[in-house]
Amino acid sequence: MSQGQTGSQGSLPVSYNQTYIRIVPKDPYVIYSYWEITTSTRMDFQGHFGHPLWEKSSPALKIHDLSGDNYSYIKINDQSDHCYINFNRPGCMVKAEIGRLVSDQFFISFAGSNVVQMPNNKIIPDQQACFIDINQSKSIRTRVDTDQIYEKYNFHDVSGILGPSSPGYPRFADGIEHIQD
Amino acid sequence: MSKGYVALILHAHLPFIRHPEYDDFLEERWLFEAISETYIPLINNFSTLREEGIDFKIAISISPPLLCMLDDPLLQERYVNYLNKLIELTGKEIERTRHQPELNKLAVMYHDKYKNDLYIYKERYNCSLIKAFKELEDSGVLELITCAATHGFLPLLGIHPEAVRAQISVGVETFTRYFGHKPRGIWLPECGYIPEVEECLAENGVEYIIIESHGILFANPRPVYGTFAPIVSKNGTIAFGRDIESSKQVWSSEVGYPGDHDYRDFYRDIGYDLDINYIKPYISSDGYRVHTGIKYYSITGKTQDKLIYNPERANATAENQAEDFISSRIKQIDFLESKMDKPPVIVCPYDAELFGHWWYEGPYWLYNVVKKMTLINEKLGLITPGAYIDKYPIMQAASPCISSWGSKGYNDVWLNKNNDWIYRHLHRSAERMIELANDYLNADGILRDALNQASRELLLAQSSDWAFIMEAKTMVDYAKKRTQDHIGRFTKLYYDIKENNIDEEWLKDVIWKDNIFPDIDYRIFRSYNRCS
Repeated sequence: MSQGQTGSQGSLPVSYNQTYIRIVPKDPYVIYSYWEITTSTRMDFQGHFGHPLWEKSSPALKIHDLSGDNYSYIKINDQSDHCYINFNRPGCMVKAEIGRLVSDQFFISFAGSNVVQMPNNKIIPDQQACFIDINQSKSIRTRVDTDQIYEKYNFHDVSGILGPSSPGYPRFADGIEHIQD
Repeated sequence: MSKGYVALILHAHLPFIRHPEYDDFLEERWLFEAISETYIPLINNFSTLREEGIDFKIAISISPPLLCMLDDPLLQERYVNYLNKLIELTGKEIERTRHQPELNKLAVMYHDKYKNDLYIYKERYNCSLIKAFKELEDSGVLELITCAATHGFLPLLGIHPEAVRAQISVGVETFTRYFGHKPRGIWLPECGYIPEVEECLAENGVEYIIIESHGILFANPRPVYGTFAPIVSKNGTIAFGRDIESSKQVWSSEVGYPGDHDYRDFYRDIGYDLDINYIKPYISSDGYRVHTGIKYYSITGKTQDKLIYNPERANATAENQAEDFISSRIKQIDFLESKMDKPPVIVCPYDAELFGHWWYEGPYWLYNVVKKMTLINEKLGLITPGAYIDKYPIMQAASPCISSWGSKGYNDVWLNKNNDWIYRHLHRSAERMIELANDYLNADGILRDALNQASRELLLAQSSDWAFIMEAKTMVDYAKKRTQDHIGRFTKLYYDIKENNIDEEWLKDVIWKDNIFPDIDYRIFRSYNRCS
C-alpha cells in the first residue's frame, strides 16, 4: 500500500459555522489571516442596517498595530476566506478584525482575532548587558565590548545569518534524483 | 581545561507512521531505512568510541513519535522482515554481480552490513534501540533530551497556549516514561521558538533549548558573545544558538561536506536501476519503485555517468573532512578566547538522519570528529549543553527572538500557499479539544477513552512533518491524507462526545490504528492545567 490509500474515517469540516478571524505571523513582514463569516452574521447585519448597506460596503480587515496604537484597513472580497497581509512592522503586536467598511471612517466589526507578536528582524542596538549566576539568581551588571566578535563573524549581515535552511534534507549539488517510473 | 568547546547535538525524529490495517505500507520504510542507515550506525560508533576509551559526550534528542515507533512490536517485527528481505536481495546481488568485481565487493559489503544489523537489532538489543540509547546514556556518553509530543511547529500553534503546553508536557512525559528521568533539555521542533514556550518549559523542569542563530543574535538586549555563549531568559530558559560557520560546512547544499564527489550517491539505487521483474519483490508491494538502500555509485559530479562507489576513498575523505571541521573550530576558538571571559561554546545541531541516511559516510565522519577532537583536548573539547551550564552558570540575561531554522528563518516553510489550509482546522480543533478538556473534568470508561483518543488525533494532526512534506512536494498526497484523517477523526470524536453518542466499535478501531502515547491524559489540554 502507498500514499493516499489510508482509509478515511471522518473528513475535514467544510465550515465551522461560526464567524471568526485568526492571524499568525509568517515572518517579520507578513501576516497570514483566515476567517469565516456565517450566513447568520450576514442576515443579522442586513436585518440591522438593511440590505443596501451590505451592498454598498466592502468586506475588509482592520489591522491594529497595538505597539504603535494605529490601524489600517485591507479590503478583501466576499468569496475569500484567507489572505497574506504585507505588514512590515517587525517586533510589534498585532490584532485584526473582520467586518464591513462602510466609509473610510466607518467600519462595522463582526469578529476580532487573537493578538500576535511579529518576529524581530535585526540586531538590537547595543545596551547594558546583565549577567546572572543561574544557581544563585545573582545578577552582575557589566558591559563587555563585543564589536570584534560581531564584526569578525559579520553578524550584522542579516542575509548571512539566515541560512542555510535545515529541515528536511539537503539535495546536494551533484546528486541526480530519479523520477519514479 | 579546554580553551573552548564544541557541542554536537543530533535531533532524531520521524513522523509517526504505523498502519496495522495493511500488511505492507510504503511510508513505514522511512523508519526502517533510518534504523539501518542512521540509528544502528550511530549506536555502533558510539559503542566503539566508548570501548576505545574515548572520553566524550554528545547530546541527542529522540522525538516522542520516534520513541513510540521504536517501542512498537508491530513495527519491530516489520523491521526484522525488512532486514530479511534485504539480506535475501543482497545475496542475489552477490550472485548477479559475480563477474563485476567492483560491484560484487559492494554487494558483499551490503550483505554483511544487513546481517550485522539483524544481529545487533535482534540479539544484541532484543529489538529495543531505546535500550541501546539508554545504555549509552547510562555509560555517560550521551545526554538525551526530548522534543515536543508530535513535533508540532510551536510558532504556528502558539495562539493557543494550551496546545503548546500539551505538546511540551506530553514530550516530557513520554521521554520520562522511556528513560526514567526528566530531560534537561528539549529540541523545539524545527528550532521554532516563541516566548510562550518558556512558562511550560519551566513548569516541566526543562532547562535549555537550542535555537537558530538569529534567535540569539536578535535577542533583547544584544547578546555580547553572539552565538558563542548561551543566554538565559527572564523565565529561566537557557537558549543555545546554532553556530553559522559550522552549520554551513555540513548543511550547505553547495559547499557542504556531504556533497563531496567521493561520497555515495543517495539517488542511484538498484530499486530504480534494475529490471522490474528482478527487483519487484523488494520494492513497494504495489509496484512503485523505491530506494532499496543498495547503491553502487558515488556522487562523481553533475552527470548521470557515475563512478562506482569506493568505500575506502570515501572514508579517507570523511577523515580529511573531520580534520578540516576540527581545524575550523580551533581557528574560531583561537579568535574567541581573548574576546570572552569564559570558554566559548560552538553549537553544532544537526538532524540525526543526515548521518547515514542522506550522507552515508556521516556516521564515520562523526566518529572521526569525536575521536580526533578528544586527542587535542587542550585546544578544544566536546561538551553537552547540560555540562556547559554546570561549568559556566553565569550567563547573560536576554530574551531570544522568535525564529526557526527553516528557510528564511521564520515560519515560511510551514505556512505558505501549499499548506496554509491546515491551520484553520488545527486551530479550531485545538479550541474544541480545550473545550472538551474543560467540560469533562473527570471522565471515565468509554468517555475517557474517547477523550484520550481525541487528544491523540489532534496531536498527530499537529505534526510539523505534514506541512513540511506539502511544501517539499514529495509524498504530498500522504501528508494531506494524514492531516485530513486525524482532523476528521478528531471532529467525529468531538461530536460523538458532545452528543453522548460514542461509536464504540469505531473508537476501538481508531485506538488500534493511532496508538501513540498509550498513557495520555486528555486533561493536559485544560485551560487551567499546569504542566507538572
